[in-house]
Amino acid sequence: MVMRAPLIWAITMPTWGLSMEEGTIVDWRVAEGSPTAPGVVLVEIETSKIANSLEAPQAGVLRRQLAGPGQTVTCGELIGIIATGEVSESAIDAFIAEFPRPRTAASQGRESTSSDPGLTVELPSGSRLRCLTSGSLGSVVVFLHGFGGDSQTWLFNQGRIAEHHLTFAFDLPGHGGSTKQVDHGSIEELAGSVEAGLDQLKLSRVHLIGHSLGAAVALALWERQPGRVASVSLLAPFAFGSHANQRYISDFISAQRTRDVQRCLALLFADPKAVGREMTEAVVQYKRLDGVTDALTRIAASALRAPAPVEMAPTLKSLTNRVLVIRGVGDNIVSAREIPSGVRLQILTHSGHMPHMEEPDRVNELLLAHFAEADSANGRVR
Amino acid sequence: MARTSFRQALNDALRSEMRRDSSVVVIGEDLAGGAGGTGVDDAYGGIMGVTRGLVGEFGRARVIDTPITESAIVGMAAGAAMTGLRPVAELMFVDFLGVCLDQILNQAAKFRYMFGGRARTPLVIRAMFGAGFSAGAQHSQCLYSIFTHIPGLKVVIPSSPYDAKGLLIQAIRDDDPVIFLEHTKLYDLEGEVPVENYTVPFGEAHVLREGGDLTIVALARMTHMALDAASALAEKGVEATVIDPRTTSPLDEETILESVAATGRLLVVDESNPRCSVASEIAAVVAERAFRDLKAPIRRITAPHTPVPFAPVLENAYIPSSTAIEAAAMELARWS
Repeated sequence: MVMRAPLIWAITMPTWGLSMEEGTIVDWRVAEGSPTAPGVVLVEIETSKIANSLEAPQAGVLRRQLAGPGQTVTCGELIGIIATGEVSESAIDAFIAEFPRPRTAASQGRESTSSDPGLTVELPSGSRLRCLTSGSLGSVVVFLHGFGGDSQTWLFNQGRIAEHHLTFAFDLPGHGGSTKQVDHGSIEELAGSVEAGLDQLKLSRVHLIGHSLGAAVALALWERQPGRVASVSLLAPFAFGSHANQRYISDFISAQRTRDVQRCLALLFADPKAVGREMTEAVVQYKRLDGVTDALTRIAASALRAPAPVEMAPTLKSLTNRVLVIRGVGDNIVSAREIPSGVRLQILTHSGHMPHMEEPDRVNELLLAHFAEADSANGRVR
Repeated sequence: MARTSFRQALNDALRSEMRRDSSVVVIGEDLAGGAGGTGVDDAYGGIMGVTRGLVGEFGRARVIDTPITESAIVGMAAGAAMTGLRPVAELMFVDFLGVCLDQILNQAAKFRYMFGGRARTPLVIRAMFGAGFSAGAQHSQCLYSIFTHIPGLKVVIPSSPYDAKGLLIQAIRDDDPVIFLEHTKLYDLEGEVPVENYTVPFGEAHVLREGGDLTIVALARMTHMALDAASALAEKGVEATVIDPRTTSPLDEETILESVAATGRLLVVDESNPRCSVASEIAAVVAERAFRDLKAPIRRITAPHTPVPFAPVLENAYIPSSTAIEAAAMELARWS
């Protein structure tokens, strides 16, 4: 009897984020003909935004490398083949020949740069909160970026999470496409704006993901509205008594020239070479906008100067099992402090301050598992 | 971000600064006109339509049409700048600055220095420049090297809609006289431009493309020619860095020197005539400060030392082409 189960698996150029159209092979980490397994890094890929690695989806043998180092390939196009040992060469050739070629942005007849899944939420205060939304199924997930970032920080995560959840990645006040004017720039103020945004979008129950400063905002939001928050995932959190790197913050605020901004961004990553020119350019363009320096200065002074509170709010102390913390060992920006008992902690060994960008597959799986667990626990309660 | 033309990006910059700061006025020939005006006010909006619609929003007191007298435009604007306004004067063609050069080089450029730093001259003079429209020898020149030569002036030459908006806002907010030059062939160029206001700082070059084999420094429209050439070169295995200085005064020497330190080969592309040009200046800076880094002679690609021809065929031959850039770059890359 012949098994018709798929014994050949296509490795295609991944689409990281909403704007990636092509990627360049940097180096294969698994040699042609060598065995591989899920989670093993197959190949290093560079996009104009960032460099990242692609892991094997299946166990098997890497039978073909279809694009070599330096080669630039459209997203969705074949770059390699994993198959079990007994699959014949001719079967692989046939598989490659029949593999559908991806439709490029140009062939789909859309403007490559102006696809914009963003929406702008008008708050009662008169300010605007911008967010990227994706997905339609499942429970609601809200992403909150860190200091100086924006919704683009989730480019490796939002698409994957959106396969199972309705997702919203907000630009915090003073950031991205949101209103740049902030009042004091305190964590309370930022949390109040996000809360007003959730009200406008009529999102009554959400999983919160916060990175760095966004983690502090997520905790503040949870404290304001415990019933609204299904779970909290904190990445490299400015929380639980940690200190923010004041030198980084002041350098980031004052950096004007592209190379100074690049030097700042490099500090965020365990591998400083991960920062691409496009990512730097996007941050430079953001920093040139009227009002940004003032907003960042206020937020830094009022939200980040003192260490984060050590204790969680008394009302939340019985709910620590809803909290997941993910940290990278090479974090130069936020210091590690002991976390409250009951909180789940994951330490990632190849990450700095940006685990969601540096080890996205791992982070995505941790997040999805955390949401699933919280959702089923909530279901049991109901 | 929105898809915006170079022309519209300039209009956005003028409009948003006029809204933000009531001391900003525009002065020039046929500037009134367009959306929001009636009768005689519903006219052109400047020869290239850059000021279209401003008179409807800001009125005749801030959108000032003048007689055809460039010396009056610049004299009025320089005086207004000294006495507290932030005028943006438009001079149609840079070629016409010849008739008001004294006011620029002996007056506006000197005020701050001669009054011991106690005078400010927040003046912007906009003009179009460049060949490619068969407009003849008196309407097609690239004269930025003349202004770059004069201490006290800042000289800005944007090459993209993004830079056009950010550099013009920076120019208007700057307290010194700024010569802001727009290449005729770029007005319809489209690109992504933030809806919000922003400034692009003077004296920071834009690295448009990175490659390890040679450095191409190109100005204004020539950046696009250089990028075309760089794409063609990449297919042949030669990777070029392309740098747009954006402002020729101040000039970002560091970015150019850093790139030359990495590549060892420099090609400068400039649509100007070659003698005493910005291309010559960049070549001199690199020869002086990076001699040890160089693996090949510095090359310049410029127009010839002639007036701009009127005949389209000759005009085309006059303008540096991407094929000429590619050939010179290839020669440099192979030079040993």
